[in-house]
Amino acid sequence: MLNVFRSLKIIYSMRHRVAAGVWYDINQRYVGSFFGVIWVILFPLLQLSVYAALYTLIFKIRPPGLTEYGYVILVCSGLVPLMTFNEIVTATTNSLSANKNLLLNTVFPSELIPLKAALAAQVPGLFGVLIIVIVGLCFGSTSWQALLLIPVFWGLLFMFALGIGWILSLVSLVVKDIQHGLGIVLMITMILSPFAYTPEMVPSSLKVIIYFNPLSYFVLSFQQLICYGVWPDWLNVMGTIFLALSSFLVGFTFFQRVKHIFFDYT
Amino acid sequence: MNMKPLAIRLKKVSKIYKLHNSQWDMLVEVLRLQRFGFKTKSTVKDFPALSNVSLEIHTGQRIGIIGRNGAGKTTLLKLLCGNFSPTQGEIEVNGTVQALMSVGMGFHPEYTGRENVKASLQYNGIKLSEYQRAMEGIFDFCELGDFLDQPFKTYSLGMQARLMFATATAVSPDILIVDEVLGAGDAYFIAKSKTRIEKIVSSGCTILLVSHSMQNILELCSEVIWIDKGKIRMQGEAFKVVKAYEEHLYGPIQEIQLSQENYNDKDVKLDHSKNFVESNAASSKQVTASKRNVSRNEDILLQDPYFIPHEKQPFIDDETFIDDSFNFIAPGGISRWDCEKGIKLISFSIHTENGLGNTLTAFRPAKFLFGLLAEETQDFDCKYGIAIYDYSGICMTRIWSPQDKFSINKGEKRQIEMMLNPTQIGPGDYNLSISVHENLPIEKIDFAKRYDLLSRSFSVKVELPDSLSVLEARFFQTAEWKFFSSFKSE
Repeated sequence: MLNVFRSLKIIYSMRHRVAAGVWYDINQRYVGSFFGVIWVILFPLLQLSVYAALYTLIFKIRPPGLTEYGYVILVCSGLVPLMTFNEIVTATTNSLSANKNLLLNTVFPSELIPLKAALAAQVPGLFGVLIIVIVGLCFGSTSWQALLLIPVFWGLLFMFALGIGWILSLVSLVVKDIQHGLGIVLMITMILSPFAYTPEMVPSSLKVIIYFNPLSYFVLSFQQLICYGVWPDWLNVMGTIFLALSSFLVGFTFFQRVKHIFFDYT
Repeated sequence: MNMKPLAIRLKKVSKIYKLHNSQWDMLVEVLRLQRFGFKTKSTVKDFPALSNVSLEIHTGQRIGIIGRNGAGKTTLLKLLCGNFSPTQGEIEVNGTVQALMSVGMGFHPEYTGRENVKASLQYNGIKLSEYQRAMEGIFDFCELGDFLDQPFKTYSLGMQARLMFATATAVSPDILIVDEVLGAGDAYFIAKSKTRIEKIVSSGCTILLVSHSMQNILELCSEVIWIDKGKIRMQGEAFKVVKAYEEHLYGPIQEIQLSQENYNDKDVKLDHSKNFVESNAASSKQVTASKRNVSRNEDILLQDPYFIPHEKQPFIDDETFIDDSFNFIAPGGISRWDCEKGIKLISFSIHTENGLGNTLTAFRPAKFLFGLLAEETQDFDCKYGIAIYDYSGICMTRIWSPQDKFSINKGEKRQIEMMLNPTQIGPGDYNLSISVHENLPIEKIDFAKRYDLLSRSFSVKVELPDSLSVLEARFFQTAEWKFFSSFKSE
C-alpha cells in the first residue's frame, strides 16, 4: 500500500510530461484530418444528437415523470459515462503495444503510458458531459449543487476504467485476442446498462442484472445528478467509490508486479 | 585506475527467452495457469540470449558493441533501458537512459519533423528555458531545411536517422544507446555525429553504440565489447577488438601448411632467392629508366617543399637479408582472413634509409618487402595490394601492384618489393593490410580470387623530417603552380 503511494508521488512529479504526452496523443488521433482537433467537440456533439434523435423520434419511449427533453437528457447523461468508459478501456488496452518506443526509455515510466492514453481518451467525453450539463441547465432540472459532484464522479469513473486498462494493456501483449474481443464485451456491458431505461422499467426478476453490472452504478449516479438534479443514492455512491478504488489499486499493483514478465512479449 | 563513477554495472546477468510453440502455451506459461491445472501442449524451449554477462562501464566512455546478428547485442541494450528485467543477475544503471533502437521508432509518420522533435523534447521533460535552444541545435545539426515542415513519412531513411539522432542527443541523457541507427547515415553525417558525440561525452554522457560498420565503430568508440552467442567474447581497446572480430568473421587464422622439409631445404631457398633478385632488379631498372627520363617543363613551378615522385634514385641498402618472419606486427597480432589455397604471405619487413625499421620519414623513400610461399605447384597471375589505414579506420591509401605472372613449385618462395619514392603520407600512426589477389583489371578486383589477406596486421609510423616539423597534414600532394600578373583591360 505504501509502495503504491510512493509510486503515485513519482507519477505526480512527472505531470508535465504526462500533460505533453496527452496533448500529443490527442493531436495524433486527428492529425491529417480536415477538422483536426475540432473533432474533440464535434464527435460527442454528433454522437449525442444521433442518440437523442433515435430515442425521441423513433423509439418514442416516455418514462413516467419525465418530459421529452428530460428523457433525452436521461439517455445522454447515462451514455456519456458509458462511452467514456469504452474509450478509456480501448485506448489503454492498446497503449503499450502502440508505444513500444517509450518502453525503451527510462525517462517516461511505463505506468504512465496507459495513464496518458486514458487521459487523452476521456477528452471527447469531457466535452460530452459539458454539453449535457449545459443542456440540462437550460432545459432540464440539473441543479447547481449536483454540479459540484460531477467532477468527483468523473474522477471515480476514470479511476475505475484506468485500473481495468492497466491490467488489460499488459495482458493484451500476450493475448492479442483481447484487442479484438474487447469491442464485443464493451458493447454487451453497454446494452446491459440502464442508460435508456430506468430501473423501475425493468421487471424485478431481471433487476439483478442491473446491480450485477458495475457500470450501472456510474450510469445511475450521473443520471441522478444531471437529469433529476438530486443527490445520488447511497447505494450508488458507495458502489462507485468501492469500484473505483479497488479497480485503481488492483490495476496499479498488478501492473507494477508483473510488467517485467509481460514486457518480454512486446 | 579509472576514478570516474560507474554508469552501468552488470553482475552475472542472464536473459533467457522462452520459445513457445503455440499461443496457448505462451498464455499458460505467462499467466502461470499450471497452478490451475492447465497444461502446455509441448515443452517450452529456453533460448539464452545472454548468459552470465558481467560488465562495468564508467561515465564518459564511448562503448561500441559488435557481434553477429542474434548474438545478444539488442537484448543487452534492452536490459539497460530498465523496463526489461534479466532472468538472473543484477543490473545497476545510474542515470537516465535514452535509446535509439531503430529508425523511425517513436516518431509519428504524419507529423512534420518539427512537430516530432517538439513532442519528443516534451516527453523527455526538457525545460521551457532550454527548449528553444535545443530545437535550434537540432535543426542546425540535421540540415533538413524545408523538409522540417514536411511529414516525417516523406523522409529518406538517412534523413530520419539524422533527425532522431539529433533529437536524442539534444535531450542530453546520462546514457545514450544507439542501435544501428547511424548505419543509415552517410560519411558526412557520421563525421558530424562524431563531433556531437564528443561534445556530449565531454559533458558526462556515456554512449553505447551498436553498429555493423567497423569503420563507424572505430571512428566513434574508444572501447569495444564483442558479444558472441550471448557472452562477452572480448572487451578492450577498439582497434584490437575490431581486428579480432573481423578476423573471426572472415576466417580464423590457419597455420600455413608448410611442409617442414621444403621449409628447411636451404638449396631451394637460396636458389630461389637468387632468381628473384635478378629478375626483380631487371624489371625495376626498366621501370625506373622510363620514368626518370621524363623531362620537366621549366615554366611550371612545383610545390614547396620541392619533390618529384620517382625522380631520384633512392638509396636503400638492398643487401638487407629478409628472414621468413613478420616484422612490425600491429597490436592484436596478425589477422589472416580465410582465403583460397595457393600462395601465402610468410614475411614482411620495411627498410628505410636508416635500415630495418617501421618509422618512415615523409618525403624520404622507404622499401616494403614481403615474401610469398607457394602451397601448390602452379602458374600464378597475381596482383598485390597494400592498404594503409589510420587508427580510426580511414584508409589513407591503397597501393596495387601491376600484374605479376610467374610459375612456382610447391614450397618455393617469391619475394616482392615495393618502394615508396618518396613517402607522401603525413605524420601519424598507421596500420597496414597486405593482400594477394588473382590478377584482374583494377575495377574488378573485388571479384578476384584472393590468395591471402593479412588485415590491419602491421604497424607503421610516419614522422616528418626535423626541418619540416611544421607541416602537419595527412598527405603531401605534388602540384604545379603558375603566377601571372593580371592587367586591367582598359
